[in-house]
This record gives sequence, structure tokens and C-alpha cells, in this order.
Amino acid sequence: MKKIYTCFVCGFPFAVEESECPEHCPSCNSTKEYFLEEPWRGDIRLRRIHVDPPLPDPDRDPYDISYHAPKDFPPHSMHGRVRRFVFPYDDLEETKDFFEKSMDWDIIPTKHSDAQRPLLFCATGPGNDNWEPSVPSFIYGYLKPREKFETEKLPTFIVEVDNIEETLVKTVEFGGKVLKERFFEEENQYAIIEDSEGNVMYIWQTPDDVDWTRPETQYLSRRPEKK
Amino acid sequence: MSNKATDTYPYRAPKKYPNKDLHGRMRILSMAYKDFKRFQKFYVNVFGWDMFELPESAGGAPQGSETPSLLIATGPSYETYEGVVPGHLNVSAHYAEGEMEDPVFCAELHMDRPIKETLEDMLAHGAVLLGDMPKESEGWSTGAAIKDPSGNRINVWKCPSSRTWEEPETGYDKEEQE
Repeated sequence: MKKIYTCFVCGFPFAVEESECPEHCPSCNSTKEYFLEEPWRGDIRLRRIHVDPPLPDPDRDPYDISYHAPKDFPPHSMHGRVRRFVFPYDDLEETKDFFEKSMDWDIIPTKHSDAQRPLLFCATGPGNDNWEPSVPSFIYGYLKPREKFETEKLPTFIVEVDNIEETLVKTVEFGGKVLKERFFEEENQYAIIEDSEGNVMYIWQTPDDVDWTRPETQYLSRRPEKK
Repeated sequence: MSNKATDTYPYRAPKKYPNKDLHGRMRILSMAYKDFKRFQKFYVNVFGWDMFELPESAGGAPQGSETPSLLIATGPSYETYEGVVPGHLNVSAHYAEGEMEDPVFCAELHMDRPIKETLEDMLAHGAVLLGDMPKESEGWSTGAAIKDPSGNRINVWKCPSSRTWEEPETGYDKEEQE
């Protein structure tokens, strides 16, 4: 018989046949004894068991990897957030066609782009007027001509940081490498780093004129209350 | 679908996504490491990332492994480690058994369509399927890996029907349905 299980520890609901109920919560790994169960009534939205979510613990050891509610991220900082993907392209039309037609993306050349081999900015889902996503947990990104990448090893994502120079110092201090110092592209400041494992990424300094009222700059670390 | 004019380049907002569907959204970045402690020290200190051990039942390594699989909040997130404000995404990390692996993004696919149909549409537009055509399942593991026409690997995933649509990440342009 199909049932809805809600984990008492993390609040995650899932519906499975009773015989296929996992031994551990697929979200937080708590054991089955923490599952609250109720009958399946045809739609998970009809469930009646809801669990208050756990709250962040400000004194938690950041190296402890047991399940916990995500920490409170600081206000007025985008530091550390993975903000964009960057994919190299070879054939412009073929690549653009694929993403527009089979992935439903909205793709535009960036403002100062080369007309023949443009840097393309891609909306992959709902967004606001400033071309930032309007919904959490996905990102927009770039399609970039392969020959225009700055380093031999291609960075494929962008992490936003408060300050490039300070991040470069920390990168080296904690076992990474600086592959390209601060540079400007399309009115933004970037650098390229390699982490301690060899993963390569752009870092992007939060622009000085960032609007801290925009949805993407907020820092609430829990679900909004239901209205 | 109309696009409202705006004052700044490109003088229009992105197109609307009026369907109850997350198809095409880049949803998670998967990274590899060779040395867990070194990886953790780097990302906790350089970027302030917050990580926990991904359960085995969700595809993680056995609990307590010295090479754990991780789910990582890179910015504000809620208890399931999905982002809770727009504009960033979270990361999964795992031990690279052999040679170091490149970071890979995971995109979500249509929930209301057989995965085979969605993938066949992608193949018709120039993608290459890596491995066999996946079988449909009700669990969390219905997915595949493709390469786009420029050779970029993208993992693709179909969410099971247990999504409640109350999750913050499931929003879409509802007003356009009026």
C-alpha cells in the first residue's frame, strides 16, 4: 500500500509503496523510526502531516557534516554563491538551436558582444526584468566562444565574491592557485582560480552598484512563512 | 508570449515560463575531489560553503565513509538544501575514484513526459546520449547524461511525482496563465 512518509528530523515528505520504504530518509539520512506516516490519497499535496523545519545553529562546527539546517548566510554579501555556468561553444547556431529548442532557454548576445562570435547570456527559467532568476535554486549562464577562454583549463562556472584580492589571497592560503589575476569583461571584474582539487572557476566581484533590494541579493536561510 | 519593454539592455525581460514545469533549468553543480579534508578546508574558508553528508538512499556514499558524498549550500538555503532566494545554485560533491573529473551541471527535465521522449527531442537537436536510454522509474534516480552539440556534458534528471509544488524552487510564471 502506498503511503506518505514525513521525516520528523528534516520535514521532508515522500510517497512510496510501504514495501519500498527506505531505511533512511533520502533527505537527511535519519533512520526509519523518525518517519511519520499517513495514507496516500492520490496526491502528495493532500498530506496532513507537516513538520516544523529545523533551524540553523549559529554555534555549529563548520566541519561537522552530519545533517543540519543550512547556516544563516550574512546580509549584504553574495560571497561564495555559485551564480552562473559558462559553457564553451564551437558552432554558434547549432549550440544555440539545441538550447533554445530542446531546453527552452531564452538566449541573447551580451551588450558588448562580438557580432560574429558573441558571448551569449542564457535564461534557463523564469526571470525578472534585470535578467536574474525570479525563482530559487537554478541559475542563468553564458555560452562563450571556445577560443575566447582566458586559460588553457576552461572555467565552467562563476562564483560571486565580496572582494577579488582577498579571495585570491585565501585561495592560495588554502591550497588553490590563481590562474588569472583580476580582469574586466563586459563592465564586470573577474579572476580565474583553481581550487585545491584542480577544479577551475571564475570569481566575480559583486558590482559596486548592486541593488540590495533585489530578490537575488537577499539572505533569508529558511522557507518563508506561509501566508 | 509578450515581453515587457525595459529601460536597460536588452530592453526586454526574459521570456515567460507559464507551464508548471522546471524543464531546462540548471539545478545543481556536481564537483569531484580527491582529498575530502583538503576540499572541505578550501571551500569552508574561501567561500563559506555549508555542507552535509548526502544520504546513501539519495545516491551518496555509505554513511561515515572517509570519502563522503556531500550536499553543499553556497548561499541561503532551506532544510532540504535547495536555495531559498533566487540567483544561485547549490553543489553536490563526491570522491573521484580514478582521475579527477570536471565539474558537471545537472538540468531538470519535463516531469509530465516520458524521459525517453524528452531525450529523443534533445538528440534530434544535436545532443549525444552518453550510455543507454534510461528506464522510467518512480524514484529519485531517473536521469541520464548527454553532451550538447559543443561537447559539454550535462547531467539531466526527471523529478519523481512526489514533488509537492509547495517547494520554493518550483515557482513559474503563473500570472501568464490567466
